[in-house]
Amino acid sequence: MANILLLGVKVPFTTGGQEVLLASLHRELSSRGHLVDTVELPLTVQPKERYLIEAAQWRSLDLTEFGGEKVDLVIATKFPSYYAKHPKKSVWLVHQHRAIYDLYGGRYSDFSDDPRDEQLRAKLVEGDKVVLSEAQYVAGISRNVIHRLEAFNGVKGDVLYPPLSLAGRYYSDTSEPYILSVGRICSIKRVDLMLKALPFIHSFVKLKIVGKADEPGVLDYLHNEIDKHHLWDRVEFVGRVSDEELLSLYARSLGVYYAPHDEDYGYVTLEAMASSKPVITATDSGGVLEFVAHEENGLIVEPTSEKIGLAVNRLVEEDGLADRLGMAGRERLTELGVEQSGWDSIVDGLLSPLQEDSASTSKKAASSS
Amino acid sequence: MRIAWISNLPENVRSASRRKATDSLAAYTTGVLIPHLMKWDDISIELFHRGEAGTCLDLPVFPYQRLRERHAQHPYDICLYQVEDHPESQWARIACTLMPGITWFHDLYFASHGPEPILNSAWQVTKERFLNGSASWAERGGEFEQVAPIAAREATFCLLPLFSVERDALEYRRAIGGSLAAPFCSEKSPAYFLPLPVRDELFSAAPRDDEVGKRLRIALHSGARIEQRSHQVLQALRVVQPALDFEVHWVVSPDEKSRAEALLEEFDLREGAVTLESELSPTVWAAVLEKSDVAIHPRFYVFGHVQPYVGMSLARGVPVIVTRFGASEELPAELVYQIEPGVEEPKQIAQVLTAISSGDAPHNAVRGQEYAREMYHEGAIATQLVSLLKSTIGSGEYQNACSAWNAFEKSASEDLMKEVSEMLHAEPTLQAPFESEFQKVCNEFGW
Repeated sequence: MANILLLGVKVPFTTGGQEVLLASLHRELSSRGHLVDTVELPLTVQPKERYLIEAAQWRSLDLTEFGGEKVDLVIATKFPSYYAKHPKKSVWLVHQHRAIYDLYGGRYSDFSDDPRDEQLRAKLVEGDKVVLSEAQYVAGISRNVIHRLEAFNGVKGDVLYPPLSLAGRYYSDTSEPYILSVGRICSIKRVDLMLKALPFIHSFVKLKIVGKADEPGVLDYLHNEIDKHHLWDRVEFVGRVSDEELLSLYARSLGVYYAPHDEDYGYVTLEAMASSKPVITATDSGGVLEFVAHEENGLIVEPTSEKIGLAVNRLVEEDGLADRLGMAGRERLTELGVEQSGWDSIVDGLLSPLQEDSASTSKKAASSS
Repeated sequence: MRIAWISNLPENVRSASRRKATDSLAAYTTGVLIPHLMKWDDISIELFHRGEAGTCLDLPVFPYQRLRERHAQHPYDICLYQVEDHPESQWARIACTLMPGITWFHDLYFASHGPEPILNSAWQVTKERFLNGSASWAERGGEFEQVAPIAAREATFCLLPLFSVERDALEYRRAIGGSLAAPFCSEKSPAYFLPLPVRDELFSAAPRDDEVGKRLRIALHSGARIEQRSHQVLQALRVVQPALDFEVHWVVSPDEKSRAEALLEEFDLREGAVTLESELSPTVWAAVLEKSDVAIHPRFYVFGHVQPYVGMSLARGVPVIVTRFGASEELPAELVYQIEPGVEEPKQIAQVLTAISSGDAPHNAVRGQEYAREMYHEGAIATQLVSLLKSTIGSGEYQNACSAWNAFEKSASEDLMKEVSEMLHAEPTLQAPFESEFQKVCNEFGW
């Protein structure tokens, strides 16, 4: 059994997929008899020049031993946790700092054309390449994440889809006329597209939004849109909810809206499928498209409010469509192996640097004997 | 000569299949010229675009975000960017100013200030800093006013501008006055004109059948907006309709299809006489020319493009009708029919079409083709481009400008690290001993 440290990054007062992933991984490794703990450092996103300091903080940590307990393996997840140095390092990449890669040059990046920003970008890219290449094992949480890693850093890796944290507990109930949106509320998640789609949708259909805003001004913007379109009775901000409430909201929804811009993975997609609910997503939603097939288990439309609205109307108007797509999603989930049983291959992959170690020890033992 | 070619691409990078038709001039130009450039033994090219890594036109392709890293590993002699006023090319407007090289502008005026990261660009402050090392960097988080949506920023942050529209080169000298390289050049504001290429196969197509009196097949290249003058052509067609037997293939971009349909309704020309081709690309235009006796290019721009479409029509040897305005004014009057914009426009177009149909219009297909061969033939353009690239690389002026830019980047890097160091000092919890740890990490990564 090994002593393992999980490395996470925390933007204080926000919660996202990484927290779920770390907690689930912690539970799974512990249940297999390993001694596991989590190291998290806060990430300050502004000013961005601080990223160099934060990367250096991770780099300068001595994670080899604590109180006489040797650390056998570290598992990093997210920028800049993978800057940590350790003789045995696995990376299960949630995502890199996307503002310097795929989001660079678009509305979701804060890197300007100032030469100092360009130098900062160059330093972080170079640093990423070094620290990711030194890991003994690299995997990503989706094909999308691994494609980016290969395209931008030339580093290859496996794809290990994180299983659902509440696997086995999802259920489906009679649909009520609301669309569910789940996740952090920020511009890249594009909850506004769904909200602005409501005027195109039958007026009895409502929108329930689960999650908390983690970007300045985003809630003001959404409330302005609600006022502008007179949607006061049709939008409900549910906030953060308990697991039971979340399962129930999924189970009773008409469908689930999840159309972020180029999403890394998106638990929401799989949670909707586990609840036998159709997913409405967009053609540029990245990792979501690894699971959703148009007209099979969801509807994939152009990222405009009008198209999203028309898609929701189809769920209302076409008899049996929502049920058929939802059931197909449930079946697809089983094929993907992202339910509880999926953990074995993930643990095997992430712990493979230790197996190399024991294999070489066995080899050494064999050669010395 | 090692070239980084930064542009939209004509093929899908993964499958090497042709992309969905695009009217991106940069993609078209890349598809035409790269095979020529590859014939030079002393040239190697890597392609960069906004998208994934792979291959295209048998060359390696990388996301443009990797340009700097690849340059550091194995430096390019030159970075060649193509910039145009096109939604697919917004990324190139960002990329071309980060590592300046040669920028080939297919437009000088743009519909917008650009994508979000450059909407608030401090490029004018950065330029001052480049020209005067003691000037300050832009204030972090400041707000910076932009000039009109002209490519002032892009044309300033290049070491040598090329223009595929001659008028743009003149306008550049007038309105922008020079690039960052100006202090290193003997000429005040060097800029070159290099037209868009036309594929050889258009020149070698079978000559047009000049049979008089048969149905006149008209190729119309234009949009539906008022400055595109299609309404004048449609009015002319209504005038000639009873007497002249004709069919029209009207090529419009997909986003203008519905407006074009509305115009056809308005002019009552829907019934078989006009066919809409709602994909605008050189490939589609070449196919339409194959079955046409005359080409009409009525759109007018002050500084925008009528190429490569007019050049393609000349190369095909068909009579060409243009509106005498902007770039079309530069065409030789003896080779094209130039229509004066104004109230007489439909009448003039009708007269020319009638004369062409009856064989009364003077038309010398060979001279038109000779002109097009000299001006636009793909081989000629490729040769001119290579010659330009080689002479640029060999010039001391260009090398001095490159050295100055490299020094400028170094100062940007040093000043960034000073800012970071000040942040470190401002946080008591992060001072020594972390400061020495931070220095160690900087040394490790070369920061």
